[in-house]
Amino acid sequence: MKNLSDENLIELIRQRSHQAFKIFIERYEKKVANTVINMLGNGDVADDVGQEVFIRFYNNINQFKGKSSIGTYLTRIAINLSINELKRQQIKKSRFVFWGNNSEEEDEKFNKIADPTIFTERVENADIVNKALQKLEPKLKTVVVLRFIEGYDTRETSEILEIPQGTVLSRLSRGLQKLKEILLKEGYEI
Amino acid sequence: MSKKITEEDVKRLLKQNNNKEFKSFFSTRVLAKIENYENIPLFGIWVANRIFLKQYFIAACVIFLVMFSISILQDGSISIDNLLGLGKFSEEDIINYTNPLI
Repeated sequence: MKNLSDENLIELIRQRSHQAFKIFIERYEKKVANTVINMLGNGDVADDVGQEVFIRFYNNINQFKGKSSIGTYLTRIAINLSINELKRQQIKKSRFVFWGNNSEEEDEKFNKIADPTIFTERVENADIVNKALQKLEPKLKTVVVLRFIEGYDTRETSEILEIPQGTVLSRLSRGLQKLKEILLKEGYEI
Repeated sequence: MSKKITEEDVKRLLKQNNNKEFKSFFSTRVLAKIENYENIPLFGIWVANRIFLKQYFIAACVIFLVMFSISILQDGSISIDNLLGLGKFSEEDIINYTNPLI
């Protein structure tokens, strides 16, 4: 069954075959993980959202008409659920704003991970970028993740996010500039 | 000698960031959730929804009771008009306010 094409797997999943769905998940797990973890950071929340992506796909499989590729379709679900999660976290944060701002604590964590003295040794370690990514506002982060990490081109990114290509390009430019500023602000050099 | 980060460096670092993975046994966990979901009888889903809605229902009731109590304490009587803050306005005032063209 592992050698089945995506189309055949989808057909079996429509018939509620768990075995086929397991193979499907294993085939696309890494793709969804890249999107969700880069959007939300590594942790239980990203894992939960990742699970939710596949559950949504399974429950709404009849809505998948094959107009876009499965990868693009899953990425769209992953991006939407990640943005929802970020909004939820933002609301949660603003609710507890009176109880003290924890941004200093976050900065401290960030500095520990990306200590300049060890940065040069770990420049290959993308964890630093991941931490910096988490400081970007969601709409910029989404474009940066899709374009540079997922490797979608501008047209595909605009289709996934349902925004004009010009907006993708401007957000991309702002996102990169912001990322550079964040890394420079922390005193990183290579 | 070190140099400042450029946009190209950021792009390069981003490209290296595509090796993320979920925790082990991810597919097994997803399927376990789906099986659980599929095994809940229709009545169970109804009860689960009721419990979910219950939180909102209780919150709405508490807010309503607080407003009702304030209204009774202020005006000494039970009146929906007072509760809505319309007790001091006549019917004409309200009609003029909602439709000033009449």
